Amino acid sequence: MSNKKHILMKKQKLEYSPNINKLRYFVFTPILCMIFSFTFAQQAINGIVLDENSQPIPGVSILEKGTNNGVETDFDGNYSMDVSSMNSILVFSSIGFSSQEVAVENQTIISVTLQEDVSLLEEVVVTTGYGTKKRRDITGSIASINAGQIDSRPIASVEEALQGMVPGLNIAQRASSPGELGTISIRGLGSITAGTQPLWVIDGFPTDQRNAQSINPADIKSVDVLKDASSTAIYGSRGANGVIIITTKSGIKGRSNLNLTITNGSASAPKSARMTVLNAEEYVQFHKEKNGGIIPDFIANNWDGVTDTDWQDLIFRNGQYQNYAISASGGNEKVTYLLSGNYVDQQGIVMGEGQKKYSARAKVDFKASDRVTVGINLAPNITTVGRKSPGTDDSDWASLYAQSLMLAPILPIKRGNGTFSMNSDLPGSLPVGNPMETMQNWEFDQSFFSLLAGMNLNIEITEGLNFMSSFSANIGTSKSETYYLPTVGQTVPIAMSPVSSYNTGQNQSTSWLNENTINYKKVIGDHSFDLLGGYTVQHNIFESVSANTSELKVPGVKNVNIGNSDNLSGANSKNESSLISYLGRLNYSLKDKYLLTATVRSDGSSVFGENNRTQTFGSAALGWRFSEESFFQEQDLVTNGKLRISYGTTGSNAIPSFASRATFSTLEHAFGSNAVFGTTLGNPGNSSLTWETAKQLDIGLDFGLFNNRLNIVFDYFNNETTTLLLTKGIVPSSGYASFLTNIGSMRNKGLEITLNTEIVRTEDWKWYIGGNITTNDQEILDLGGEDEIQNFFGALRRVVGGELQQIRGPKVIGIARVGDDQSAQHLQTPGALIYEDVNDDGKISNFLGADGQLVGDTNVDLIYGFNTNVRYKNWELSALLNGQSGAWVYDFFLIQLGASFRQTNLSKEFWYDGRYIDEANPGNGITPAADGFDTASGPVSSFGSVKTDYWRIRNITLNYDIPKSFSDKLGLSSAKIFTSVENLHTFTDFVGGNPEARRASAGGPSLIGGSQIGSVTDGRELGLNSPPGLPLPRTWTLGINLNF
Amino acid sequence: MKTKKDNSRDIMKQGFLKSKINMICCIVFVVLISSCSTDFLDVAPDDRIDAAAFFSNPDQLVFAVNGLYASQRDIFGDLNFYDLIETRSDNTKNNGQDQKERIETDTFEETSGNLLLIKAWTKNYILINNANTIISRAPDVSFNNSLEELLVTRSIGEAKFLRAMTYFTLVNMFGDLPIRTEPTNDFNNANMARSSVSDVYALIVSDLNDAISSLPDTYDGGSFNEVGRATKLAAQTLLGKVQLQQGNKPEASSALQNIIGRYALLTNYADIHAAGNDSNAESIFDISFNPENQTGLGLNNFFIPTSVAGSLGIVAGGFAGKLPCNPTQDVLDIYEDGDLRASSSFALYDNNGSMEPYISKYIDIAAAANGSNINLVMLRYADVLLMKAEADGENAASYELINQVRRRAFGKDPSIADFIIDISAASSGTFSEKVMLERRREFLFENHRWFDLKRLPPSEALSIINAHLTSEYGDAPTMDAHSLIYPIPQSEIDISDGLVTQNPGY
Repeated sequence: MSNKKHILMKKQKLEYSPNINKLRYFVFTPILCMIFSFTFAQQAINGIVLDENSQPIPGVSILEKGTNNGVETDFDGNYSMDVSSMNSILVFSSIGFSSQEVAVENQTIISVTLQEDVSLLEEVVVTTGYGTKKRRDITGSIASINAGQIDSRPIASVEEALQGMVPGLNIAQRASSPGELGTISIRGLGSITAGTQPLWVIDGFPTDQRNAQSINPADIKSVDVLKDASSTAIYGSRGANGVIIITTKSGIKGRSNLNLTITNGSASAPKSARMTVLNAEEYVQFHKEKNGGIIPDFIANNWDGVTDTDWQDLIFRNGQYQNYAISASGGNEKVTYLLSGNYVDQQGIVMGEGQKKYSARAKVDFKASDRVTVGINLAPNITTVGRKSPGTDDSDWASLYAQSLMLAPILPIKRGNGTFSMNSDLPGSLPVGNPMETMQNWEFDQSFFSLLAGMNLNIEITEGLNFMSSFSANIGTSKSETYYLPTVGQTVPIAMSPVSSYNTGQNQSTSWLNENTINYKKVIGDHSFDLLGGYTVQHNIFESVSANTSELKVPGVKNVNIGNSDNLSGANSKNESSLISYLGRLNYSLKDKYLLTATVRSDGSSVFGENNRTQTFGSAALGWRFSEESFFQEQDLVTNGKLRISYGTTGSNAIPSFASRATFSTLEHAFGSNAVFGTTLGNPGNSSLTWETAKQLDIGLDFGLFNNRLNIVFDYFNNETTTLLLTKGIVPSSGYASFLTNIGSMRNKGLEITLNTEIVRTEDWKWYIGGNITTNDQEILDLGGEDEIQNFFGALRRVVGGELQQIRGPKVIGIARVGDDQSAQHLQTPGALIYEDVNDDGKISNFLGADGQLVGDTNVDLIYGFNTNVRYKNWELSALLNGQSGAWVYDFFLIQLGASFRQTNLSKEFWYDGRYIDEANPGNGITPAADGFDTASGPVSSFGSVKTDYWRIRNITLNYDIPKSFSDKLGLSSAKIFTSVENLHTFTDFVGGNPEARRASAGGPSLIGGSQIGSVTDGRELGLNSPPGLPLPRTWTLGINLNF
Repeated sequence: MKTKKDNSRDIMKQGFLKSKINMICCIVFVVLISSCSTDFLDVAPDDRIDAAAFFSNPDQLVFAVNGLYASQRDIFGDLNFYDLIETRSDNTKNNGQDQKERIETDTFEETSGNLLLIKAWTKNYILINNANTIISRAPDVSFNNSLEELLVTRSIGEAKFLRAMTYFTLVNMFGDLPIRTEPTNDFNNANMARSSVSDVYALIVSDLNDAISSLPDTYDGGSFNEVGRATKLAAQTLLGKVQLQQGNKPEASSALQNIIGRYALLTNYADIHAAGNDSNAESIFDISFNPENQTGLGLNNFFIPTSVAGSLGIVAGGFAGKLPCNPTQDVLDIYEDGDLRASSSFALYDNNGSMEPYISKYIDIAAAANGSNINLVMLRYADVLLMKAEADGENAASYELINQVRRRAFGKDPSIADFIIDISAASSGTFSEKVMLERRREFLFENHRWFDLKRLPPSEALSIINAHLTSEYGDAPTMDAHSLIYPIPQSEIDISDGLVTQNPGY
């Protein structure tokens, strides 16, 4: 067959109506395609034009440069044309897309992907959950970022890519050791005890943060953050905290590509980000002042007068960062594929910390017929994480960072006899361990394996009617080992065991999901309908097992039988849950101006009480594209405008699987030496336990000005969470202290403003600026009749009318001076902290008493991000800033651990600089004298309640696109070099470490002497910092990206 | 989801299914929807004991009873509880630098919010709720033979014995109590008002009579029949104690009469609390502690200074700070020369140059991280003898009972009269004073003194306490009658919206 004939046939096809015999069409198209690829002559060219989501673009004009020769793509994005020369250049252009030039260069198939023009945000396709929509048709609040905003940054996971980029999304890197998860919330924390984490959906699979973190950032095509009820109601009982949808890249037909990215760099903890502690001279001076001007014996007898150890310098290092990502993609009419692999080796800034990630992805779509597509997506991942001390996240005393801050500078690394020195060498001092010793003796290793695998089937039953079914599974295992071998004969450091120990634990989670949806799209005149119906089933099992032993007989052997058999103990657990859902959604638009979205989802969840297992959630939203109205057409300032209003309910089912069921727990007992098995009433259960329900209102306004070069999005949100899952007190004589029930309510309301503008757009220059601000006003409305709930001994409280967590204590109002009457105060010496006597009783109480008052709120009231991007020819410079304000934290470390009343080292900024020395040197009026801190009122007071406001230069990246002429010579289709710095600097008044750091939650509220509700958080992590968080690493990288 | 089924049917009817695959898919879809059922949502835990399925056989009943003994160990092994009972008396004092709550209960300055009280109240009622659960569900437990039937009956008896003992503690601490005899199931209607002390005692007596009729005299020691469980004799002894506490002396005497001759005084007083000397010939009911099974006694760590632990060679144990609980000066002086109970109860140690007393009664040289192998003896034969004497009043037989206890204390044979050691009507003091003094010497640091004082006329008890406070603290507040019972924990009052009332004076 001649080429011409093929082309003819193909053209002919376009004229066929859909009713024409389809069988021929099905059979011939693929065959034709294959033949094309083998037999095309020099002057004929064909291909397909797709958008970034691999959707064909009809009506793209293709022009042979310098001629009048041109064609347009058909409905399926296909084109074919003859060109006059193999050296011709083709220009592809279409409304809403940046035009693109491609040199023919002996190619016969030229398929291109057109990039959507950023200034035309309205045309961007957004993943809405169970479907996609153009941004112009969206009625809810959805923010998106795409691959271009991730690619050049030295980030190991998606969380880092999102920080500062999305209004309403707060990502706090609580712990900055590699492999630690950030704390993420959307539009404020909407729950007190149940989870506040958004739902993560990866390629349609609802899963958790750990899985999202394991994704290779280079695989990510887009991340869509669903924030209001209109968007999240389709996820029903899991939508209350928002939904983050990650879509991975796919192969594109006719466009083979091999992409290699190598990034190398180094991370460090800059001195400016560390906590500054006293050097030996300052330490001696401080203790001399504290001791009435005389050098205390513990220094005189133990300091050689020379030793000045900087313990932080000993634990921090330059951590190497390496990232290798390779991907191959392509496809033909029948099959598209993407294969990718990624290796990340990220050393921590603290000795011995680091993670390694190995991940791969195979994504293949097979078009079995013109109407049937089968796809498979496999993504295995292995991550290993290690460190050489108890983590900063769970140890006040024994993490390397905490030890390095507290250990006195007058101590040498090793004593004269060659053993490691410790704080207990100073008589009367706390036995803070030596980080060098801990590093030598402690090992912690963790490894994760996960496999997210899915198959999907898509059938176009008839024009506009699609059936889709998917079956996917997520299998994850993790293993951890802790091994500790204390130095023989040394004093036991605080928080460390006197004997050697070994612990090993494994857990496995298995989750499967079946989703079936039918989607029908129809346009009738001015009316456009998009209907979705579906049925999904998900089942999750999480199992864990662990074993511990101690007093290891043969050091170095990691086997639980090596220890003292008396100390061998084990534990296991299993949690299981099921979810069955029916969902439906209607999108309707009239004249492309009036938009309606109605969503309903009915969920049945096994985790709730048998009386309350199913519930229906729903939302409705209206949109009005007022810029399409005729009265708006006459001006040209506002080129795009849309008003959106949505209201709906979503739920949160983030409670432990069996919290609703009463259980017996076990108690050991022995009569004499005869051990017996005992049971006691455990979790009280509650057969009426049900969802937390969030009622969410969102009013949004989208503006495109100056031909859409300035885009502004406003969103007002008001989210009220009701039927909060709270533990309610019950009379103790009942035999219980409390039970979990649904009471109370809270609200988050605020405003999000996003602004994106392209200030300069010329041939050579492009300058883009974007920014976003979110405010959040949080209030507890009701606590089931209680006025407050106390935690952390009453230092932290939830109070009706207040934010989710408050810090309570006496308020410091100054420093005592000579001659002041301070008779009410505990310490009446000049230089002592003075507290406010609220009830004027002439006494200062501690935080529990009458003088306790609100000294800090923990909600982040304002978050913001700012990014800019300047492009000149092949050079591109971008910067990202982000920050927050309004949240306070109780810094228990400053006050209790590294405090002036101890002999540990302490924060120079907090305790030393500006302190009161004498009347001639009264200091800054804030910092007390060395002996001016009073432990009776001091434990919790406004003195330790500190602001966590900061702003940070999060990232600066410089990109250079290697000129085409040069990359061609190397056989590359494109290449670029980039250099980047992450976390360049944080501007903050916060003392030392990371202002976002918080204490890990200590688990569920313990019922006195009785049962405990597992893994219900007590929210302590909101208000408490102890130990201090590691500074965020400053990471410099250099990278290269090659496309073959 | 009828609509979707209909939807699928409509699709079929329209007849545009050109491909078999399409049809198969639609069928699969319909099948999937209809195959789901609510069973899928009924996920029961299999890694823990689901309460709904528990108590399916008598063995499980025994497990729950074992849990009661374990709870009792948790209550009495807790320093905070010791503080409320023993340190409250004139036997010990707090060092004044301890936790605020523990200092306040020692100096009679506690408020109703005191955490120690809330803990003690809660822990005791947790035990009661567990006992109630056993007592209420045991009758429905099916059994296959007479042995199993016996287990069911015995379990109810043990639960009643332990419930009685717990109510006895609570009523002496708090006075009127909510009397709960049914398990708590309805959390929204769990409030209950207090009943009078006499009603509480009526329940205790009735529980003990039930226990007496269903418990064996002894246990053979096999599995499920471990020595150390509550016996009929223990129930009778406790009944005697309960009657005596109420002032029902004839009833007390007759209950205690059953025990006379059934146990013996150990030759050596110090052996009563010797490590490993569990359920000895003098002991009628112990709370068992055993480090091998991770249930060792840790309470005594607070009594022993680190330096002493070190010099004795105790690997783990000893208290590094200021001891929270110290013998009073007063109690050091109550012993006569040669009374071996003094050296078995306290000793002196060098506290930075000054010699100070500490409680030495509970020392296990072999104690390790898992605690000491020492049982707390709750009911013992010496107590029976002294209670019987107290119940019977002043007569020669009573003096003989007292003297048996005294003779052993001086290392003599209890059955042989000793004119130096023996006391009689001619000895100084009233009979009551003599009995009280002997009890104080015999049961020093064993949680008896505070409840013993409550049997005295309130004015006498108060004058003893006031004298103690004045001598130890100088400026201590003067006590009045309300101080003889603790305040009801404030959380009980608050959560019950005032249905539970406070004791007068708080």
